[in-house]
Amino acid sequence: MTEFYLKIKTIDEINIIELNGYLDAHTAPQLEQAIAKLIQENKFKIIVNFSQLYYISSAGLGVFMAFIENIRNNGGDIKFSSTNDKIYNVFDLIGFPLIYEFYKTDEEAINKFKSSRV
Amino acid sequence: MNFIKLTKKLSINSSHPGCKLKSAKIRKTFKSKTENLSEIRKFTEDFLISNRVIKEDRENIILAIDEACTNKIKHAYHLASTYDILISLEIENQLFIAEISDWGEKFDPEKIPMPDINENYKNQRKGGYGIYLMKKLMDKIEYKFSKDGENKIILQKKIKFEKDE
Repeated sequence: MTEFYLKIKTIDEINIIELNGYLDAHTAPQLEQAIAKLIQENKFKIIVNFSQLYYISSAGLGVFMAFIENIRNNGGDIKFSSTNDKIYNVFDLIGFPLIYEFYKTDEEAINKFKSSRV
Repeated sequence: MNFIKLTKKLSINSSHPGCKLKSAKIRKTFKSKTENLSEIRKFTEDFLISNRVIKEDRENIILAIDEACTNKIKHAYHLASTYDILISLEIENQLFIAEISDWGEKFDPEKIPMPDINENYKNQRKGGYGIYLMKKLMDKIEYKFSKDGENKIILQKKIKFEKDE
């Protein structure tokens, strides 16, 4: 069985999803459900922390593409933090840096959310 | 020409001590369910590690094989979990070759558009990256469809090996 779990914590109304393990076609639905639930609760400011994610396939990438426009239309964003080289390379191959903001730490991403508040 | 002949002959005897040329092959059948993807990755990784393939090549090959199998589970078998996916892995000198077969719905790779990240953003399209990734990660991809219903994808990549200590 694929090992994957996620944790969500909230700091100043910003939701940080910490991914752990292996994100593939089997485990991507867990992430999909988690983000869908945040949207349902009108929580549109999301940071995804990749520091404990060891593997991502295109099924995982697809989850972010499925929600990003809806989230931005509601004044929010999905920002990425703490991607290791292996994970970032996969994002880079697909062209994600054109669409998503990447930060070294959660704090940097939080500050970006705070500084862009109207 | 003589060199080619010699290379082929030597590769057959690669188990001989001191012979630098590699030749290895392994195959296994997996059921068509996404929960087997981790086992498929482990199967691939074990083969590559035992043949001392460098980490960067291992990671790229493992992801490409995951993408190929995910496509077969989703598109050839439509997530029905009782069908077979046959994976054959081979190293012949500097070349890695994976052959992955299903017996489900024939998949026409020409029908899959190349993903454009900005277009996908507008259309909220979440798929279509698997084939693109495979093309980026591997050197060559071929499809073979046989009359008995076997749909095979062949992935090839020139690989490097860890140096002897």
